[in-house]
Amino acid sequence: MTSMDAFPDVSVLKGLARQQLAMSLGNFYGKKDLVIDPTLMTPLDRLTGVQFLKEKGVDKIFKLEHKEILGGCDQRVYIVRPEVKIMRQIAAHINSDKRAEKLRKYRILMVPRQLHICNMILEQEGVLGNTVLIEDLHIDFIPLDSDIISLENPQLLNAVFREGDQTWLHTVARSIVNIQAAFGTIPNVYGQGHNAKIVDELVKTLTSEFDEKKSPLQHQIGHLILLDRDVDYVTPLCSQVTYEGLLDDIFEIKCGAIDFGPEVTGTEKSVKTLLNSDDAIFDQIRNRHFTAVFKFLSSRAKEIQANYDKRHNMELQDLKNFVASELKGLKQEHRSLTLHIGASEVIMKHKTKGSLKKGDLQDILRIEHSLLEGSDFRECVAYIEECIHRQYDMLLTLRLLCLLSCTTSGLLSKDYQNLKTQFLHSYGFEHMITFFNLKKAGLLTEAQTGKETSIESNLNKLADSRAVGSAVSYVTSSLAALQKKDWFRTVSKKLSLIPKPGTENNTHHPSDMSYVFGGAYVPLTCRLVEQSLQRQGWSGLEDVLRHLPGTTFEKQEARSAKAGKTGATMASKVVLIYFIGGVTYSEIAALRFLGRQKGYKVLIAATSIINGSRMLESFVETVK
Amino acid sequence: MSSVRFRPSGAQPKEGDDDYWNSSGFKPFNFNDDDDEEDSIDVIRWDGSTAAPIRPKSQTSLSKHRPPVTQAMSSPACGITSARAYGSARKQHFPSSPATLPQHSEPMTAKPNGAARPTSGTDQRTLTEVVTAHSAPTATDFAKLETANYSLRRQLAQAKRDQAAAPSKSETLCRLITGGTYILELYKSKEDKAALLDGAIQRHDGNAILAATLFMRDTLKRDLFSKELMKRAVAVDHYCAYLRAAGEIDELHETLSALGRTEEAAMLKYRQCLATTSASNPEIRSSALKDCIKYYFDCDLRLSNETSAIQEQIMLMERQSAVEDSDSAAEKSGTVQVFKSHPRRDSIVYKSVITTLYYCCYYHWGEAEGLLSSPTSIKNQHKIGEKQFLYTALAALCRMRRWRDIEALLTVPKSLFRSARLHATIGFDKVVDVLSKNLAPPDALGKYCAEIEGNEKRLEMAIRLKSFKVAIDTLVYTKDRQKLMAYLDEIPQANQHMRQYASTQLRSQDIKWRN
Repeated sequence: MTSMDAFPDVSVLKGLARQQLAMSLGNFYGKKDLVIDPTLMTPLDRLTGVQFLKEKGVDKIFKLEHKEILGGCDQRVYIVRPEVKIMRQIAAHINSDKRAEKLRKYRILMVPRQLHICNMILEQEGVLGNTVLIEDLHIDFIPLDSDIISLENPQLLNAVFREGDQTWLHTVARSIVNIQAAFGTIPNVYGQGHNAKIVDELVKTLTSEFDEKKSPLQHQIGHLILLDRDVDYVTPLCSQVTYEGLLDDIFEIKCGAIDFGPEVTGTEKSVKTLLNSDDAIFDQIRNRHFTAVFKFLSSRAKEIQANYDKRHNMELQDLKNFVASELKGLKQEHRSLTLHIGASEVIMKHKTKGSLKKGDLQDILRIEHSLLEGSDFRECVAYIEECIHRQYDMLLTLRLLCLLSCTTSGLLSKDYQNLKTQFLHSYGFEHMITFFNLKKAGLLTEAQTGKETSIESNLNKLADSRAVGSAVSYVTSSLAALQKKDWFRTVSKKLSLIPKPGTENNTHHPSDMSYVFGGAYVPLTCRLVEQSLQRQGWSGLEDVLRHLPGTTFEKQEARSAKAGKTGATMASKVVLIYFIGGVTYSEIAALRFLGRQKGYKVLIAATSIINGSRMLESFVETVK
Repeated sequence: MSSVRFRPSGAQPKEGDDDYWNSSGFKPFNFNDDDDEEDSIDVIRWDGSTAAPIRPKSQTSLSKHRPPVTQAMSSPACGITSARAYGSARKQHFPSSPATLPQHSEPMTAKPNGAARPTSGTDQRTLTEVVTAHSAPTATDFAKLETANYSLRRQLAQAKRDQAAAPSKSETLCRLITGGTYILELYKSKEDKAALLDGAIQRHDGNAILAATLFMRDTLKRDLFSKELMKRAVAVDHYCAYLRAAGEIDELHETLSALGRTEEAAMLKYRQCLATTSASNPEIRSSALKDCIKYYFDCDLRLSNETSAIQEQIMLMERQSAVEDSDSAAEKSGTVQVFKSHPRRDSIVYKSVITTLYYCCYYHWGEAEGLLSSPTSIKNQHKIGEKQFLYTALAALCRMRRWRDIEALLTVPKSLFRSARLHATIGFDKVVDVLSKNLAPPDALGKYCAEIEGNEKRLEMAIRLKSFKVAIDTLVYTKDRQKLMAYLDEIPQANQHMRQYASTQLRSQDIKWRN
């Protein structure tokens, strides 16, 4: 990455989160056990270590499960998300302790805040009392890298975009307030999406309610761009072909770390490793198109070999220096190189040779490209049918189905019913609920015909005419927005998301963001970011934006006010892009590329890091 | 500030005071400290009496004017004031300066108030003083205490009223949003409740919206609540999300039905039906599903596709249950060879149609259509497409190594005008792909590999699957001598037969090579 002199140091956020945790644990004197919500395990891992917790008096650490916890000392701390299910589990623990006449003191730390319903449930279960204390534990952003911060809250996608539950948006807004407290108030804000707008308003409310003065700090971030995930469902539905994206698709990156199995390490053991810019080799290849990775790795391997070889003809003194200074670095690089070569080999296997449960990546890519371009519709449908017939991995099939629907703005009724019937036969009838969920989220829809569309459009008008938060719910209005006929084609033409055929695409030395999808497609979100930075707002884009779901807004600081200050000009080149509903590694790679190309320093914030499978997983019915 | 004014006259006791206060925990009431002074003035004024001018008196001339002191003590600060005085008395006892002695009587009057209890043996004389002082109170004193008592009561009542009056709605909402304490129960009128909810919606805080909604539910009559809720779609969304999370399925169903969201309501019931019967046997589940259709699906025509899917599901379960019963019995009996050589892994109950079809192709291939376990019968009942059937059957038969059956499956029988030939609706490239992924040996593949249409595809597949003969034949067919020569190197030495074949072809005079 380029040098980051004025770049906001997000590791500060990690320090703040640690402080919060230390304070909460410190306030509870003496030895205590820790019970952690499974979904918070990895994020907490990223913030602290066992050593840190031990210093704060933590004795044993348990995972919160339905079953009872045996043993443990007389004080217990729960660190959990504020959810109904979890409250019931905790209540069950406390009640069973009561029955067994075990006297214990409890603290329930809710991340990031306690909710009315949680306290209500605990009260209903009869566990509130002197021995139970509930506190907020304000942890929001987990810095995953020097330029990625994430709330690590994947359930937000389902809650916000399917159920229309805005509770988590408070957390999003709060995280922005915290960012502004640490790095100064961000002067320019652009946004697209229903929820982005809500977040922006919430930020204002919170800033005034918390009575925070406009941060006296010189702002270090010049622009904030807020984007809803449902503005662009297409991008996460595409197979990723950058190195980091492929790692995520094939091995799954969890909270910035990855588990390489025996197939990669070549030994019997699995290796868990952090993936971030501290790993020099990884930093070089993470954003590359996969075809450009192997060449780099092999040349690097030669260099390392050469460096190792140096020591053979060294004087003793030089050798000493070599061992003292270079050897460790070389060994680290060596280790990382071995892992990444191993991983690349596994990726290659996936690419050319499908397995029993997955088609060849090459075939899938070909179909995806056709879908993006809008060509060979029948061939695409036939391929998806083949996936269904061969009972390929369900998430793969669903991903292609959703991509088909999203790029064509809803399937024709005949195709929809036909594919649905075959899908239910292959994967089970219970998935009619999955179909319903996907329809509600707007991912897999049946195009409405004639008469009904006009009802939808009336509903839509109604929604527009009233103030936010009145009669027509979000879910209904967003569905209506998606039914604008062929909006993806229109937008992709207007923003030229699909490079013209014949445009040379060099995956080794890319010339535009489309390289992250092998030159087939520029992620819509990234194009929006590019345009808004270029225009310093949305002006001139109204024609495009009205086709996108949700509302558009911008807020700009008067230009002249800060002019002249050197800090301000530096900050005007720093941009924070916040994805509500998650971001993919492909988008991150494209935005990094954009930053390098246009001279911006890009900081990416998201509610979680997603890929196609994880995005869809939250909508899949699991009842058997 | 007042203390500053009076300091000169109170010089003598002040010294002692200082002595004490420097080492005491009662600091907030040190009258010589300007900050704390403000505090105590406030407290005394709160009494509503003329306390402020009194206090200086109590400090300067305690021994001379008893009544004012008592009055001061009746103020909320009195206990502490006396404690201070007593404390200073204890300190000053040993110096035993005559000027301070009279002071002892004053603090002791505080004793009935219970604020200052002398520890034993501090001073005998003080006790006697106390006794005389105690007998002293006059009717005026009582009257004054009475008045003070009354005014305190009044103020307490006022304070209680103040607390009971709800803070403004925006204040409560602010506390909800920022995580402060709040009491919703203070809002009694329906309008207030509705306004609270509207305010929460306007502020976009899910927590506040839900809190206000649930508060309405708990405090309003059912139909009033519904009416108010239905007016606010955002509140409905939050309420439904809560009901789902809390598992209040019936209430959720009712709400959705009332909103006309029948599809969602029906899906909810369907899901509940599956969830509650996932551990039960197929009979129980199927009767539950039948009820589900009757009550929640039949009423809406738009759900006809879903209805027929569930009916299919019921039929499937009946089939699965019958097949499962007879097969597990057969397996136990140990007389059926196929279950010995290929033990069953898992029950097929509640599996998908295609998984069931695969199972039946695997164990029951070729059975007459009348039997429930017959693959053909499944195909017909569920209207499985030709392609889907072929993919499934091929995979199952391949795993069973039933090559003859596969051949029969792919053969169109001889007709009047044509002899028997191979045909596959999915295309032979897919046939070969399915077979190879199900680990068919190369010799079983060769025949179908040769059938692949399109020379390039066939060649690619043949090379990949090491089907040498097909590759050689294809290269010969395309008259590509160069490639065939290159390919010769790829045939392993061990396979002399194929190397021979390739060489013969290369030497053949009949072929007109392109290169």
